[in-house]
Amino acid sequence: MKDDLRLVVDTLPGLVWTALSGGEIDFLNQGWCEYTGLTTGELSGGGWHATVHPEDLPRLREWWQSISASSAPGETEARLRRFDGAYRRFVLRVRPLVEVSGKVVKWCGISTDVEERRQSRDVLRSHEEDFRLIVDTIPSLIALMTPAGAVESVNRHALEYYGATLDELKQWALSDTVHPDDLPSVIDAWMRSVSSGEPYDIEHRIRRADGIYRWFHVRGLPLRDPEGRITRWCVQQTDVEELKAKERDLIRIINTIPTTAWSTRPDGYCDFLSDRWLDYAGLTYEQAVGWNWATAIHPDDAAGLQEHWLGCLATGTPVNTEARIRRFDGVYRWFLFLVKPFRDASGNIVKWYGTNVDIEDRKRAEEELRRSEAFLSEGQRLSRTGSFFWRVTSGEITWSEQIHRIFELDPHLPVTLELIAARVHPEDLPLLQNMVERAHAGRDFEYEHRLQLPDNRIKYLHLVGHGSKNKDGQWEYTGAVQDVTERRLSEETLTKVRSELAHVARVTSLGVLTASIAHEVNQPLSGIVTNASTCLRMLAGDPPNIDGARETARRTIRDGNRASEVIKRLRALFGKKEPTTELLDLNEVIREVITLSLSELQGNRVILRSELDDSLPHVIGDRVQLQQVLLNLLRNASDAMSSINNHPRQLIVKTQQDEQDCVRVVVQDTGVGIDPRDMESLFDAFFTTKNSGMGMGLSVSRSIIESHNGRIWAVPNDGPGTTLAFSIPRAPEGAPSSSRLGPIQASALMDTQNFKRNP
Amino acid sequence: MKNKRSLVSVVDDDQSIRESLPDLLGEFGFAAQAFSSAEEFLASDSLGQTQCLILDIAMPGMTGPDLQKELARRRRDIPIIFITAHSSEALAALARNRGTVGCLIKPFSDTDLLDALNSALRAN
Repeated sequence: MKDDLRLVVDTLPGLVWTALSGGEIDFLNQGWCEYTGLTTGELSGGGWHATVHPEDLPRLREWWQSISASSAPGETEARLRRFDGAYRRFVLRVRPLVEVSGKVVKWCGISTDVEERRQSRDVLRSHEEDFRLIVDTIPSLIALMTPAGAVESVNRHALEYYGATLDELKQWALSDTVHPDDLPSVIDAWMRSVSSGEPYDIEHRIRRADGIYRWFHVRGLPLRDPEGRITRWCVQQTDVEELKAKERDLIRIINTIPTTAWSTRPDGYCDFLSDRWLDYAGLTYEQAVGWNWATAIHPDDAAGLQEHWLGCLATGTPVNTEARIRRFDGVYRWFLFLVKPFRDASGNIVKWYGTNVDIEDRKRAEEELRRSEAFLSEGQRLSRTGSFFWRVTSGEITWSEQIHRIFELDPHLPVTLELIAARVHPEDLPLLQNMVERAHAGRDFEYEHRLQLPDNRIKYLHLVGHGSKNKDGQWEYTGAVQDVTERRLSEETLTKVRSELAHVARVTSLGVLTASIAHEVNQPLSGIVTNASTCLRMLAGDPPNIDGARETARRTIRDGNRASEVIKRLRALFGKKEPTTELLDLNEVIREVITLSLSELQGNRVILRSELDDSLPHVIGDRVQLQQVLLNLLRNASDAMSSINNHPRQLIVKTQQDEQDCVRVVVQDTGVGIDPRDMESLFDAFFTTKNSGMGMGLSVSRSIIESHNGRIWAVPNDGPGTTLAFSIPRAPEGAPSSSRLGPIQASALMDTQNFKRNP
Repeated sequence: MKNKRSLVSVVDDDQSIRESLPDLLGEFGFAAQAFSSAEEFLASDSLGQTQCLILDIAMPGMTGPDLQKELARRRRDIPIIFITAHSSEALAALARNRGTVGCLIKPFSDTDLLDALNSALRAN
């Protein structure tokens, strides 16, 4: 080698060397020696091996063998030890020196120090790795796409999620990575973004490694260079399956709730209708969305509804309304439209939500109710009967129109007990008080009372109230008030007429009675005449029989008195007198009668036993008349036993309640008894088995009892004697103690002669 | 008038009659006996001696006409003067049976009674 050439070779910035065709080093430049600090001699042959990093040496040797065996140029890297012991990375490049014949005669190589360059490349690589690490760590699927839209790379999450290689992913449009149902719209959207550069934003299902599709929210943004050209697309796929599941739940709830729901945008554009709504109307979402739903509204209601709805939108005030919506089968049903705006934090309406409630049945019931209310109102007017509702505790009283009419009060005045009291006849105010007391005690009530109107007109009312406890355990009364004035007045007229008739009847029967009256009067009259005749004859005698005359005169007076008694009784019997009725305790009546007749009974050696039922209900009747009946029965019983000497003269008076809601009085004697043949005629007028008497006692008793709607009967005892008994109905529950129930139609009074006969 | 005082029996449930008639009959000169019922009379000793019977028609138990029939059955031919407070023709017709000599309606005068007694005793 020439010296100048050698100088050039030594100056070259690298380690230059040559080798024989067999691979043996035959030349090393000055750079080698300077770098390694070794001599040419030390480096020649295989000596250079010592400068190669032990880790690189095997590979380098292998490489060099394969290179030297071929005749192709080569390049590799290896670390070489510097004179100070530090290894630096070198690129080793080698080319063969080839003869014309093609034979390799020599190898020329140069090793360039790339340590600096290599180090800066490593830094870059480590940045790249950091970046990749970050991308891999982002908890979503990241894909980088080429400006043309092809997959360039994806992050680790993506690979793991898909369970596919990058190459496989590049074919996503041909695979089932995207759910087949979503694929067309996904491709469509992606191509649109790629061509327009608009951001990509879509939701679709992506297949997971295990084959399950999950919902993802996929968003892509283009990366642009300073010139604004798209260099890449970065696409992020976020798993929204759970959100979607919640949304699906919500949708299911909305669609399952038995109501038709919908929502609109702030401008009223309908953007959601629940399945039930669509099913009901038989419309698809597209047929109902926006303002299309209006086609399902009844033509008569559509304009009004639209106006109403626009009003809501304009004012932001939700106002509910009603309209008919056509069902899938063409039938219109009434719906209630409930609507509510949803506002954001600053109070702007973001959305309107609404439901439609089927109120067809309610509407129909309302219609029915209106109709029946009209009927009821008419019925109340016709029957002059009003109804009321009274919540006792709160004092709340509701009246039907008719009661207002009956009371002649303004329907707008709140009804209070004070208001009622102002109308009730002053004499009947105690009834009102009684009613309030009963109501507080939870008892039903029934009254007849009068109203006194400001112009002093009187109205008669019949009031019935039935109490029941409400859910709070408070008493509520529902009742009716009937204006019975007309009935009452005609009843009074009737009673008067009847009473007069009864009198006429009594007088008429006077003709029939004449025989008996004549008998009664003629008996003492006969005595008088006979006694007077005797008296005269005795006085005309010689000598006159003064004592006899005095005796007969005395008997004359007595018979005269007797005749007078008969007349008095007749006057009582045929006198016109209206019986009065009241609420009676029969036990009390009996005790009074017993007291009256006790001395007489004792005088007749009658043993009296009374068995009175203490829980006996009251009856309504005429005290005096009933006393007369009882006196008559006691007297009859006593008389029947007057001839009894072989067993005790026992008289039992019993009261009891019988099955027919009647009160029964039984008078049992141990007397002579009654011939069964006479049982039938026992209660007929003039029937008598007594030596004295008109036979009127039991007949009158019967008419009294019958006028009390009761009956009287006699049965022979198993032992000696007879049982006479009567029963009369108990007073109705809640009957007022001072009664206006009308006079009992009594037609006769008691024949009391038996009690007056014996002084 | 008569040597032996004829016995006149009175049967009536009315006390006034039973008390007043015997005295009047005594004034007429008859012996008189009063009974409160037909049964009492039938059971008495007076039955065989009674020359004339003054008999009330309406009585509890055996009535006047019943007693008349009973006497007829027993062949006791006693003239009977019925007395009654019922002025009914039916009763009067009933009284015109065999043995009835008269029927007096209460109240009757002493002379009517005497007339009836005289005709009864005449018949006897």
